[in-house]
Amino acid sequence: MKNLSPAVTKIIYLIAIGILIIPLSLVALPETRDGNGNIKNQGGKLSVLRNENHLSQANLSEIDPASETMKLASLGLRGIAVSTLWMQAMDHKEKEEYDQLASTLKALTKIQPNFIKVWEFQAHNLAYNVSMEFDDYEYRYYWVKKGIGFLKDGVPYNKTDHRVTDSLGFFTGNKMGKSDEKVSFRRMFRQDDEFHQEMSDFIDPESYETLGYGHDSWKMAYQWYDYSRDLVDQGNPKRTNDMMFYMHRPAQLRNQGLSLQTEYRTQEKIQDVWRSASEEWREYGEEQLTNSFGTTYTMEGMARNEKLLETYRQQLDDLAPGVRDELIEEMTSNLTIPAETLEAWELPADQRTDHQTALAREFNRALNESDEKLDAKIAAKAKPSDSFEARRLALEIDAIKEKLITINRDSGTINFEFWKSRTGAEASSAGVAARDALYDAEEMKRRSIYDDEFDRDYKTKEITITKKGAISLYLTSFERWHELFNQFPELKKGPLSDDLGVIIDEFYGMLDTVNRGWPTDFPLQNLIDERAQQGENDKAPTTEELEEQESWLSGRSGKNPTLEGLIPPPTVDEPDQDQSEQDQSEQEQSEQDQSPTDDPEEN
Amino acid sequence: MVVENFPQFSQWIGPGLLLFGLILLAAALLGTFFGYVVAAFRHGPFEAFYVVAQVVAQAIPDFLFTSPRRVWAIARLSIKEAMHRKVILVTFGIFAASLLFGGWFMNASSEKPEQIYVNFVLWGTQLLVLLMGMLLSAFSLPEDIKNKTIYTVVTKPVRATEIVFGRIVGFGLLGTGLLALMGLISFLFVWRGLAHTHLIAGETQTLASFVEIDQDTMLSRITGRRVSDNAIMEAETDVRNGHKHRLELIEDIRDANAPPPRYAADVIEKENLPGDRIVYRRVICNPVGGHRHLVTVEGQGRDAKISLGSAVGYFRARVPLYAEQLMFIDPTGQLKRTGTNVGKTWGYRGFVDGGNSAIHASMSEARFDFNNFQESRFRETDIVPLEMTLSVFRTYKADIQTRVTGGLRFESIPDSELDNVVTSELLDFETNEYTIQTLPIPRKIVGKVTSPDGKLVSAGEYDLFNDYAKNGKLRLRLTCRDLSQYIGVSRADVYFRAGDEVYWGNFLKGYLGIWCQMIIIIAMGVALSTFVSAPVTMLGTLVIIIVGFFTEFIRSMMEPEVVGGGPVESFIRVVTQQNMVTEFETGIVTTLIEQTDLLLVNLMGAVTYLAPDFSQLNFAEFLTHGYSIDTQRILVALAITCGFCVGLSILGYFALKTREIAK
Repeated sequence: MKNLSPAVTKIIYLIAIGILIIPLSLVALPETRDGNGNIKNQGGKLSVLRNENHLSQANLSEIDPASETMKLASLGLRGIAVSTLWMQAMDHKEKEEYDQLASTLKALTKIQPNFIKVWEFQAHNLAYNVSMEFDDYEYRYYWVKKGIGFLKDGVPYNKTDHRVTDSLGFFTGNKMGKSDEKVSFRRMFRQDDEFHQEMSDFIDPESYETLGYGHDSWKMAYQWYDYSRDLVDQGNPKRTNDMMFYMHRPAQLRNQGLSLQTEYRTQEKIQDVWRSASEEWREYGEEQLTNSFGTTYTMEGMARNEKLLETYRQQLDDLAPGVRDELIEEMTSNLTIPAETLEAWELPADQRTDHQTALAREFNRALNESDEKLDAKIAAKAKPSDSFEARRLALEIDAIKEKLITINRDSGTINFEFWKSRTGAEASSAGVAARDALYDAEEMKRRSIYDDEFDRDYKTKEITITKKGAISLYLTSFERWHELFNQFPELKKGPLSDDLGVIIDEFYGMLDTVNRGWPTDFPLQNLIDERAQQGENDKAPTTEELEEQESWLSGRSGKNPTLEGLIPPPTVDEPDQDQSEQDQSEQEQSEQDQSPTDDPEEN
Repeated sequence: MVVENFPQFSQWIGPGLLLFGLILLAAALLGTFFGYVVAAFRHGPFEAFYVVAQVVAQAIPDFLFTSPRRVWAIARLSIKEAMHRKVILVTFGIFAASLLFGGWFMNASSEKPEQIYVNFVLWGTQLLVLLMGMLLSAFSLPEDIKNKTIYTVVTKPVRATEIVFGRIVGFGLLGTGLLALMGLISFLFVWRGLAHTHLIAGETQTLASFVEIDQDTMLSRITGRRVSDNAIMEAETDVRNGHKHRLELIEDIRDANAPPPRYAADVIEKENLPGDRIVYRRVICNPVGGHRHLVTVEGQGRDAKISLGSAVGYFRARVPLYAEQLMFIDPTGQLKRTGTNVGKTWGYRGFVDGGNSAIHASMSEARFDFNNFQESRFRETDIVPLEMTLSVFRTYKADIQTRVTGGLRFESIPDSELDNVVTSELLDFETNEYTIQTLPIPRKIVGKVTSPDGKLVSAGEYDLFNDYAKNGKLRLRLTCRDLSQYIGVSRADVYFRAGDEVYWGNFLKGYLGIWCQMIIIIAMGVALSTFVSAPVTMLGTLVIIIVGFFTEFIRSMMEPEVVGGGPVESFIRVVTQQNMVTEFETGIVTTLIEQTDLLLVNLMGAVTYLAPDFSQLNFAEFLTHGYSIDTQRILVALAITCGFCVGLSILGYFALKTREIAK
């Protein structure tokens, strides 16, 4: 080379570069697709590897010039650039320079666009942490949107990973629909065309519109989870457990119903939302779920599996007649239970000491363990000719028992049965009637109109109620709830009962404010009593307390300390006969005045 | 905007000169000593005295008789040489390409697009210009020496000072030209990127495109957000530059004898009301991203044509009148330098509380004492704009629909304790966190005059300039008016806006900061290149640039509470994948690591004092936030630049003198 002239050397270099470019370009060639999105050419080896490992954009049309430029501009020092940007981002946040933080994050994700946690973490940072730094709820809303928008930008870079869209669903639903500012947030969300336009890259704004109420944040969350479902249905890996993954979608419709009914009078449209929620919840119950131990089950499969268990056990008993009874007899006769344990076990749970609770728990575990091996023991005692079939049955029984345990545990975790009943109840006519009546009552309470407004004809003494007050409306509402509980008694236990407990307490407080006594025929008195038995500490009086009060008022006993301060003092004057009649006539009148629209059952 | 220091040139220059003198003296002593040691090896200990004395003696005429003509000749030569190397062209090419593709990374729809645009151009320019300065200066002299072209210069009657000065001046001029060009293009880029106007969304550009506002809720039918108190109709504009504005038709009700609105082009209707009042129905444009548009109405009533002008609010250079001192009164009435700490890691702002349910009235307040609060300093004096950027901390959410309320009270600061005090009534205002909110303070404020013993002397309306700040001193007392909530402030958060400076002038000042940095880098490159090779010079200059940019960070590493240890300990933790908190096992190895780290960290800390602290020469923050860069800062920056140039020129001269070529 030394003897060559500079011009020749340059030409040789150029030829060498040209030759090296050919294999390089073949290795790095991006994938190309036709107009229908079908792969025309898989591209070079690098592209194939990227596609296989979901590392980055292998398709020519997917490559983001900005991101690629940033990556190239870091000259292979991507790690250092990323660390510097992270430090810068943290510094901006600490110094409350939030706009600059958002800009830095944008640059950061251009350098590491396929790192899911970066998108999730920083979107959470914006939507939750930064938004809460602002005093004005409108700014908070802006930053929540900013966080969601930021996360949305991560979807094209991670098209096969449902975790980004799952997080989008969670952020949209949770932040807009459950934060302290939810009323304002949801109001602004409904009218935020700019935001809906921004999201329209992935979700059609019409798809999360509820007729008459505009865009709904819960329904948008539903659409994001639906997007995730589509991704998984297309064969992309599922990265969360089945129980949670498939629950997200129905849960959003349920939450939509819950939010709408506090924002509007129920009406048919909200009933439709509840119907959809109920349908989705039913579908979820039928979904085949597999847990991390490989057990496949459905939430609705409890009864079916119990029946199957019974059948198999019967078949096993047929192969080894009488063995089950013998073994149980043997087991209980050999069991030496210390007197202390037996005493603890027989005591009601709420009366046990800590030590007794531990003893009882240990004893229960021992009983269950014995039972677990019972079927295998029976199978072992089957005739040799039936031994194989018996063992098979024992294994089947074990599998079903495992399934039942899983169903029991998982459905309890997500309160499946409750929500199934609840969505069904809310979608029923009785549910709508109860909600409407409650909404009307709360509206009146908000306006501080507690008592009925009426006109009295002084000649005829006839009273015409012109406007029902909150107390009357609450009582009507409680009657509707009473009817609903008659139809869905299982709802008496659980969050709905807690919610009503709070409402009843507020009603009690309202009566106290207007100096009125507790109604003798309170429609949900049963619920109050049951809740008291369950140990709930409601303010409203139980039947027992009311009876004690009555006996005290009758003068049969002295001062009743348990009722002191609990029940509002009786009206100063004993109600005379006329007044009682008047109250009764008001009550009747109020029932007659119930407009047809107020009671959908009558329609 | 965050401002942590308020330099005064007159106060800064004394200690600055002293430090400069000390460094120069130390360098002279060290240089003489090392020069003698080197000369002693070459010429023996006795001869060395003569050599060193000769060099020092020659320095005096060299510096005194440096010819500007010859300096200029060398400068021209350096410019030609640099142009030949195409470094300038490449720099400019990268800059142009950055601007062309920069739009990809810009978010015009962000909350503050001006900041993002200005930041981008300033950061890009700064980086490129500094790298260019480094490359030009680092390679020039070593290349000349290597190619022996330096002999064509040194064989002429030129002094070493002229070679050093000439190169600094030449490269400096070239860089200045490039910087000016980049500044001009940047200005046009930002201006073009932000310039826009809007049309009203709807079929017509009249009130027909407006909808009524629900007067019960006072919430927008379009966005669901709050509307102005006096708004009756609203509309939206189309989307341009990634955003849209909300327009409101407001009712501006005034007394018949009150002056009409200052800006009257947006009045669409005027109507007399009973009780000698006039209502002006005006169309206003709500601000988005730090700007709004002036509305012009042609005609009257519903058929009047409404049009929006160009963006107003960008390209500002506010001239703030900051308080001379900020003190806090704590809830018990004690005067303190810092406010309450509400648990934020960044202690820039101090907080004042609004009392709690037990005490109710808190004595907590922030006291801003202004000096030179004179009428002559303000452009407008009838209404004085007070601007605030406050932080709010809520201990509980309370009413989330309303913002936390603050209170302001003006007070005179008498020269003597025997003078009466004028105190204004409390002016309530609603805070608007992290936003520059402007409160128009009327010149006449209701208040009272009290004697030193607290007795009421008189009450009525008093003049802000002639009564409250009669002696040019004014106290502003800021309180929080909501129970259990806090308002946070720093000294730079509350100021009177004296007026606005011409934006391009301020832009020029911003670039002056970059120019100072560039000149220092060039001087450093030239000085280092006189005694080390080009790659070493480049590396050295690069280190200085990095140290200059991260001075604060490096100094923070010297703090004892830094987790993870120094360089060696950190390296071990990285390699062994250990966390930053777990302590190493005690022993001789750990002690050795810790001591080495201590030495290295202190060394790094010492280097930061030799390198220029670029944060003092960087005015980007002022431009991005729209504040005028005050002359004091400029003077300090120029003095620092001057100091470094002089020091580095002396270093370069002596280094060059010790080489054979310059003799």
